[in-house]
Amino acid sequence: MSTIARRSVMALLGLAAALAAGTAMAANDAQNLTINATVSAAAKLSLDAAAISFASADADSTPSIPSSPAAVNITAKAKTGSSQTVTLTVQSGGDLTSGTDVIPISQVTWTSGSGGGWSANGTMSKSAPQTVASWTGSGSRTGSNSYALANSWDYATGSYTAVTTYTLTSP
Amino acid sequence: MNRIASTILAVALPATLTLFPSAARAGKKFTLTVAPANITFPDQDPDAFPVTAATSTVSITVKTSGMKGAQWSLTALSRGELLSAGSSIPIANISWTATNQPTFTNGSLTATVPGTLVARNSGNGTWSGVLTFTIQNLWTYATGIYTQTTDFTVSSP
Repeated sequence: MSTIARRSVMALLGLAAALAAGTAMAANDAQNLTINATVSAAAKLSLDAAAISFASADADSTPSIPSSPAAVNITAKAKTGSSQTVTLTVQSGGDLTSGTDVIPISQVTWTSGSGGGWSANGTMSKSAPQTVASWTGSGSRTGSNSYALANSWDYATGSYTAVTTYTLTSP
Repeated sequence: MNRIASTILAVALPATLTLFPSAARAGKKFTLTVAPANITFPDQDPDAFPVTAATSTVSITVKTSGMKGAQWSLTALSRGELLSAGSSIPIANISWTATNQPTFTNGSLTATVPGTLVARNSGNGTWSGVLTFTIQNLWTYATGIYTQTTDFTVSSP
């Protein structure tokens, strides 16, 4: 009798466990959705000043004339491959000219306190693009260039102009 | 020993009765429809479109039977981040807005179990909602064609 009872208990416990397992199984249905996203290469460059100027100053007391505005703020945005290099360069179309008078564009220099891929300083060139900044991968970066003109008693009087071009390159 | 057996039987028998719910015998049934089976986020200028909408919405229909008033829920669980070669975009950057609220709810995708609640209700019936998916469009994304699968599961405890 004792053995029968033990077997009955085992059978009932087994049934209970089976039923418990059955009810614990949640009814369900599932479907999946494939999500695709395309990210294409792009580059966008903006400067907060379209022109800067250097005021006339005493070459002895002001050997280096800061520009007005004091800095050109630059925003460079690029989408590229994760290991690709994004480069920002600047090049002048020519020297500073006023009629037939010329101030070499190499007399214009810049400094940058932006760090994070921005060149600390540079000299303007009409013959080759000068690297202003470079980074790896996509992103939006901001920095600034503070320009100065080396002052000299040798300059002829006049109102000089040159056009420089910033170029953001993203492969 | 016989007394012990009787005691165990007395405990076990009521348990077997409670483990026979009528809903389980009737059988809860779900039919889940998700259409289309894939969506695409096009490339857009992040400045002009800080949020990009998928090219199509997703229609979801849940049909239930045998529920006896029981609650059901629909969840979305992604299998990982959006991937393209060695690059990734967090799947959490994708979110949706839903019609037919409050049965359907707004949410964001996740790859963390148990996923995000998409819809919830109870009893037998048919419920439909349309999800409009959007993704945060950022300059930090590496170029590529990304993909990932998200599983929608309707279930009832």
